[in-house]
Amino acid sequence: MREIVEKAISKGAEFCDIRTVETESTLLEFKDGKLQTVNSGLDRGGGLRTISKGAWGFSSFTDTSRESLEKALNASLATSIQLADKVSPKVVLAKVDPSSKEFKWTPEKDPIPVPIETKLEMIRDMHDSAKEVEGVHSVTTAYGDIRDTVRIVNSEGTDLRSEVTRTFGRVQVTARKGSDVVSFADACGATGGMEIFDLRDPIAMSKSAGESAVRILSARRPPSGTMPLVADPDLAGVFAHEAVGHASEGDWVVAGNSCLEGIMGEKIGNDMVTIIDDPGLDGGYGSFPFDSEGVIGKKKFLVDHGVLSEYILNRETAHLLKMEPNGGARAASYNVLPIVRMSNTYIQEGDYSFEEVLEGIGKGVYAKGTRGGQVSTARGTFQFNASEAFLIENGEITVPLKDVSFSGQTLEVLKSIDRVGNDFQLGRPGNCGKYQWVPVSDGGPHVRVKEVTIGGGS
Amino acid sequence: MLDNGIRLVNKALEMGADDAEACILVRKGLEHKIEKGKVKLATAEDSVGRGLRIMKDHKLGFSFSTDMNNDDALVEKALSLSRLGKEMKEFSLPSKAKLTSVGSTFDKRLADLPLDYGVGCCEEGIRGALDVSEEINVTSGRVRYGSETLYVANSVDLEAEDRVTYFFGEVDSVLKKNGVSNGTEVYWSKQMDADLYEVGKGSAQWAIDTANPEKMEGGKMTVLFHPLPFRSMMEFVLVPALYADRARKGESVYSDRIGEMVADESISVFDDPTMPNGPNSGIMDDEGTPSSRTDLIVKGNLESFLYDSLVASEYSEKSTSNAMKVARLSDIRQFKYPPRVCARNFTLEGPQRPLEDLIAETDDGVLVHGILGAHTSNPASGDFSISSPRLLRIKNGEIKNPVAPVMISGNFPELLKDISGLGDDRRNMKGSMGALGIISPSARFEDVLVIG
Repeated sequence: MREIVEKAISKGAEFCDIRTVETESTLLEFKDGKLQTVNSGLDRGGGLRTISKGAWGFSSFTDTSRESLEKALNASLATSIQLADKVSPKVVLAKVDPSSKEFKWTPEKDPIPVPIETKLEMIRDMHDSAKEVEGVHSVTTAYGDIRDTVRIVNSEGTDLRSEVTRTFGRVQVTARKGSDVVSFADACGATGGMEIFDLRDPIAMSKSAGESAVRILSARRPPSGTMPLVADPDLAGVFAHEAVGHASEGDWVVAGNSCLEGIMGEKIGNDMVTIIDDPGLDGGYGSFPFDSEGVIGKKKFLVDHGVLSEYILNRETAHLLKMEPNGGARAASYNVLPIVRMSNTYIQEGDYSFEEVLEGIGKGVYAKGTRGGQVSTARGTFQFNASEAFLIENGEITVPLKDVSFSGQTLEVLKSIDRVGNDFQLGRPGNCGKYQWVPVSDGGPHVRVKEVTIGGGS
Repeated sequence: MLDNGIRLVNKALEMGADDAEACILVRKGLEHKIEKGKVKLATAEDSVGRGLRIMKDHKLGFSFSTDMNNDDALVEKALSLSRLGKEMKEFSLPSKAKLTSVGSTFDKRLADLPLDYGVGCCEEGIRGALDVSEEINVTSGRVRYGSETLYVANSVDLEAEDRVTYFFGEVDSVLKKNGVSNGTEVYWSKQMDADLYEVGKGSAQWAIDTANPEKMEGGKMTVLFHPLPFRSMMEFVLVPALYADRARKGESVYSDRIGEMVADESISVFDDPTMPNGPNSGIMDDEGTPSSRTDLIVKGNLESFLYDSLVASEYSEKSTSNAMKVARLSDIRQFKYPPRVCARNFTLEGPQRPLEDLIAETDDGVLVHGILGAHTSNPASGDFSISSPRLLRIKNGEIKNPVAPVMISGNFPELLKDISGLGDDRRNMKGSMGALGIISPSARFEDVLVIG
C-alpha cells in the first residue's frame, strides 16, 4: 500500500490514500419458532483516493493484489485529471499530523469464537419470552456481530490500523386483534462483544417489546395539533441526531444546504441545551478510533449551552470553513467515499428529575423510542415517529397512544426546550442512511419541548 | 465468471452438500457528484463477490466472500451454518428454464463507462436549474451509471447470466430568498437517455414554487401526491404488505384477504420485471427464476402476493420471480445478502387523467411534492403520519400559494379504497431507501387529515 501511494505522488498527485476494510460478520434471525436466516461470511476490499490538480478521484476494488491496486490508482488518477479544469475551488485538505498507530478494541467477551449454537439459544429465548405475552401474534429476533479490520495509509505518512467489533440483539413483535395489526421493535447493541447483553438483558427486552406491542394494540389515537412533548432518552437522542446533527454536517453547511450555515457562535437554543457528537463514547454503537480519512475521532460540542459551537467536519470541509478537522468522515464500506457523518450523538443531561420534567403540563404527549425520523437540513424541518406514546394530563402519564408522529423546525424547537432531565441513557443502536448506512447511536435524558406539532390521528 | 460459479457448486456437492447455488455479482460503475453548483468528483467502482447457498439434510446454509479462489473455505462455512439452518423439506432450487430477453435493459454506451458522459450530465443538470433562476444554488446532485452482471449456477443444472445497465441522476436546488426553499428531481433508466437539463429545471422550479410559504389551517381535505412522495408511501406501506413472507404469516393488513376488494375498483397493482427499461427489469430474478408478471390487485380485488422460491415452498406456491439479493435498506443488490422477497417493478395503474384536471376539480386541498418520514409508517397497520415541508395550496380548482410544513395522517390501505384520481404523469422510480422499483403516477385522495 505504501508503495502505491508513493507511486501516486510520483505520477503527479498531490495526495493519495488507500483504505482497506475486512468485514467478518454473522447474522442469525429467528422467526416464529424457526431459525430463518444463518448468514456469515467475509467481505474484503479497498478504496483508493487521489487528489490531482485539485480534483478528487476514487476507485474501489475487491481484488487486493498489487496489479489491482495499480489499476485502481490509474482509474482514480484518470477521474481526477478529467475533472481538474472543472473543479472550483480546488480541493485542499486541512492539515493533519501523520500518525502511525494500531487500535485494537478487544471485546471483553469476544463473540467470534462463541459457538453459533449459544447465539441461537439466546435469540430463541428472546423469541419465547416475547411470544409468551398474551396477544402477541408473531416474533422475529436477531443476533449479529460484525468485526471491521481497517487500515489507512496515506501519502502524508499516516498508517493507521484498527479492529472494532460490534454486537447487537434485535426483536420485532407483531400483535394482532381481529383485523388490527401493530408492530413494535427494540434493539440493544454496542461496540463490544457478548458483554453488551450483561448491560441490557435481551430476554427482558423482548418480553417488554411484546408487552408494548399488545398495549399499543388497544391504544387510542393521539390528539392532533400543537402541544407540549416529553421525549424519553431514546427519542431525545434521535432529535439530537436528526434535527441538529445532520444540519451540523460540514458538507451540508459548505453546500448551502443547512439551516445552521452562517450562524456559528450564535445562540440557537435554550441555555440548558448541549448537544454532543462523540465517536470515543465508551460502548457507543457508532464509536470508532479514527475516521475513514485517518483522523482521530474527537468529541464535538455541536451546541454548547444553547450556542452553536462546532460542525462535524472532514478534512476538506475543515479547510473550506477554516476550522480544525475533527474526525467526522465515515464510509459505510470500502467501495464508497468517506463523507461527513455523525457517530454517537446525544443531549447532555440537565438538572430535572423525570417528575419535574412532567410537572405543569396540562395536556401533552410522552413519547418513547422511535421508528425513525427524517430531516430537510436546508429548511430545518424534521419529522419523527415514536415507538410508543402516552397522554400526559395534569402532569401525570395516563392512557397509551398509538402511531404518534411529530414535526417541527429545528431552530424553533431548540428554543422551545424548557426542561432537560438528569437521567441520561444511550438509546438503541441504529444505522444512519445519508447515502450510505453507518452504525450510530443516539441518547440523552428526558427532554421537554413546550410546543411541537403532533400528528397521528386520522 | 459463470465457470467460477459452476466450479463452486461442484465443490459444494463434492464436500457433502445435497444441493448448492452459487451467485456471483460483478459491478462496474462511475459516479459523479455536484456540490454547490460545480461538478465535484468522480468515483469508480469495480467489485466482484460471490454468495453460496447450500442444502444439507433439507437444511439451508448461506455464506459469502470476495475471495474468488478459496472454494473450500466458502463451502465449509456454508455447510457448518447449514447444520443449524432452517429445515425446508419442500424447498428445491429453481431448475433450468427458458429465459426470454426483456427489452431495453442493457445499453453498451453506459457499460463502457464514458467519463465525459457523467460530467456532461452534471453540467446539464446545473444549467437546467440556473436557467430557471440564477438565484438557485444547486447544492448537491449526482449521476451514477454502469453495469451489473449476475451469474447464477446451481446443482439442478441452472446456469444463467444477466447483464443490465443502470443510470441514476439527481439534482437538489436551494433558494434562499426571504427564507429557504428547496426542490429535488430524479431520473432512473437502464438506457443512455437521460435529460439532466430537465431534471435540473424541475428541481429548481420546485424550490421557486414553494418559496415564501404561508401557514394554513388544518383539517380534512383533498391531498394530491406527486409521484415521488406517493412512491415513498407505497414503498413502506403497500409494497411490504404484499410480500408473502409477511402476508402469509398474518403480519400484514392483507393477510387472509385474498379475493376481497381492498382498493378502489379502478385500481390495479402488479409487479412486472419484464417491462422494457423498468428499474429492475431483467431476464431472471436473483435465483435464476425467469422473470414474469404477477397481478396483485386487479380492479380493486386482492389476487396474489409476491414470492421467492423459498417462501413459495413453505406455502406450496410458485416463485413469482421476486428474489433479490438485497437487505431491507440497501439500494443496490449485493452478493453478501441471501435472496429475499423484493418487488422488482411494482406498478400501480388505473385510468389516468391530465394532472391539470385533477387540480381543477379540487375545491380545497394540497399538492404534495416532498415528504419526510414515510419510513416511520406502521408497516403492519398501514397507519402513517408524515411531514410535508414542500407543498402547494389548491383552492377552488387553482394552485394558490406555497404552504408552511404540515403533517398528513391516515391509513394508507384505507386511502387506496377511496382514490379519487390518477394523474397522467406516470414515472419509473426506485425506492427512496430500498432497491425495489416502483412505477406510478400522481394520486389524489379525499378527506385526508392535514395538520397545519
